Amino acid sequence: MILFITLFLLSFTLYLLGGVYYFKSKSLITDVYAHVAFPGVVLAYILFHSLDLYLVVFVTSVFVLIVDYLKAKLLSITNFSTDSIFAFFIAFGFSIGTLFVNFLQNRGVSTKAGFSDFLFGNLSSLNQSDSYVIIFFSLITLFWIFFYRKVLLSYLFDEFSINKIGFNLLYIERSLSLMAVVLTVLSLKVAGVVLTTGLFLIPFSISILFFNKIKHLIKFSIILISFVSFISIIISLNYSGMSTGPILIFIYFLVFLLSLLGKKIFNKLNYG
Amino acid sequence: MDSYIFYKLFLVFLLVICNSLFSSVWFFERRQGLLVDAISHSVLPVLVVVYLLVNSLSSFSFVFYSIVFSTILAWLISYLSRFNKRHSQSFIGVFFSGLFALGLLLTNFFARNVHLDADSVLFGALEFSVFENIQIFGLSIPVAILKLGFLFLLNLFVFNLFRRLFSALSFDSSTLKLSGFNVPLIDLFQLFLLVLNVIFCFEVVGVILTLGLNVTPMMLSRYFGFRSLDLINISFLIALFALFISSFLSFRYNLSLSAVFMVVLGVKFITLSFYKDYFMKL
Repeated sequence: MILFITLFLLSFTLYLLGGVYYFKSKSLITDVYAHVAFPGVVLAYILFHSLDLYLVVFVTSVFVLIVDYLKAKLLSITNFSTDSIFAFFIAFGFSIGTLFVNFLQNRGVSTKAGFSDFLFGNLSSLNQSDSYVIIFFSLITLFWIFFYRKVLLSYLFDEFSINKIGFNLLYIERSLSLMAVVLTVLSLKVAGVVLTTGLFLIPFSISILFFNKIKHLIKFSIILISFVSFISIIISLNYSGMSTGPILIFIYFLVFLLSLLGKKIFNKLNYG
Repeated sequence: MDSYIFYKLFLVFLLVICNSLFSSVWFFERRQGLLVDAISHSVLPVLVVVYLLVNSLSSFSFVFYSIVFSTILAWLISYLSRFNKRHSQSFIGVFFSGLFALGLLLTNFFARNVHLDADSVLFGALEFSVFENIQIFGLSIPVAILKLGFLFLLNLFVFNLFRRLFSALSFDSSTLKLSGFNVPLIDLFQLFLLVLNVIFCFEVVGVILTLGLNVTPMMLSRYFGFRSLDLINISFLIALFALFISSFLSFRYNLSLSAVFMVVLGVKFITLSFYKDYFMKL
């Protein structure tokens, strides 16, 4: 039950943040965070000889935020497209992680199993304290989103009106980045480095195929996320050798493809 | 390490770099860096399915079917990302993560005991690439060098033949269309070359570094040139210089060559971006 609550709350929070990045056309920023988080995880192990989630979250978030600052700076001082800068940081971040792993291997530390959970996700490796950490951060983020929901809507659809209603645009953007970074790090243990971005994007991309009102999007997401979370937990608990990340993301992807197909057929039947 | 093996590794990596430069320059010009990311992730399920069909990783039919199906998939992703330009990143993200998840599941179920295990997909297997050899005129030559060498010659030939056409496609596709060229077909041909490169390099440097090699040298060379030929020449010199440094560091401290190479390039890029005015004055 606690696994289900953890996965549901995390997925739902990522869904909302994914929606924000979807409308801001910056969807793959979460992929950058996830890849840059990998060296952060290994660095946490090098510094503290532990992969406890709260330690990993702290070290990795600081690391990712530094890289995020660097990324923003490079975007402002160079003429390269967002795509190129994102692609650069994905590869650069992951390479640093690989070097950190090499460093540990050269010191005779066998870390493969521990890091595999973060690379490919492993829901069954979450203990109770990990779940509490995830639930805690997810609830804080949900509370923040609920509290600032009107400001967020202005930010999404009319960015310049934010200053008019007395809010600082920078505060909203930095807060969103911070939450996305922390939640990305938390979701590494569920979906893994490469697939975390799928948790941000796929559920929202499914919902937006059918609905465009916030109320409907949220209602649909609750049903969708509950359904997929339940199935993934059942599979990952019964097949202990399998990573959770691929299962979870593949189920969402399958639902996305079916929805896309269903919508096309529906449109054809109704509008010719 | 045996110096003979070191030279072979050096040559394999150099060929990977050269091939990446040829295939990525056009996508870089079109500001589609993340398309390379999407394709490098999405080819995994194709490779596993084709492996299951032909039961070999080195036969001609494996290479042929992988290229055909991967090109179709790459075209589909490229088409979808252009179909909805505003949300193209979302489409790319959904497809590459979904297909990569499928690839990992298939690898877990069916291809655990071959070179396609999940770790080698992410990190590549450069160190093992020189151990599969073939005898030619009494010389033992790694298969990877032959494959990448063939690809290099093909890239060189195509680049020299179609340079102007590809350049025009990158900057002004509508004029090409008006002049009677079949733009979608040229586009498909470019994708085919990219897929070919990704499939051949994927095995050696892994999914994520394939992306790095395709993008970073180009970004560095952009500070020194604009024409496609200049970009390739400068990128090659920059990459070669980085390769010498990274080979030394990698073999001296027992580190992954591809990761050191990417970090060296990354540090160069960040330093150059921040101090470009100072370097330009010099």
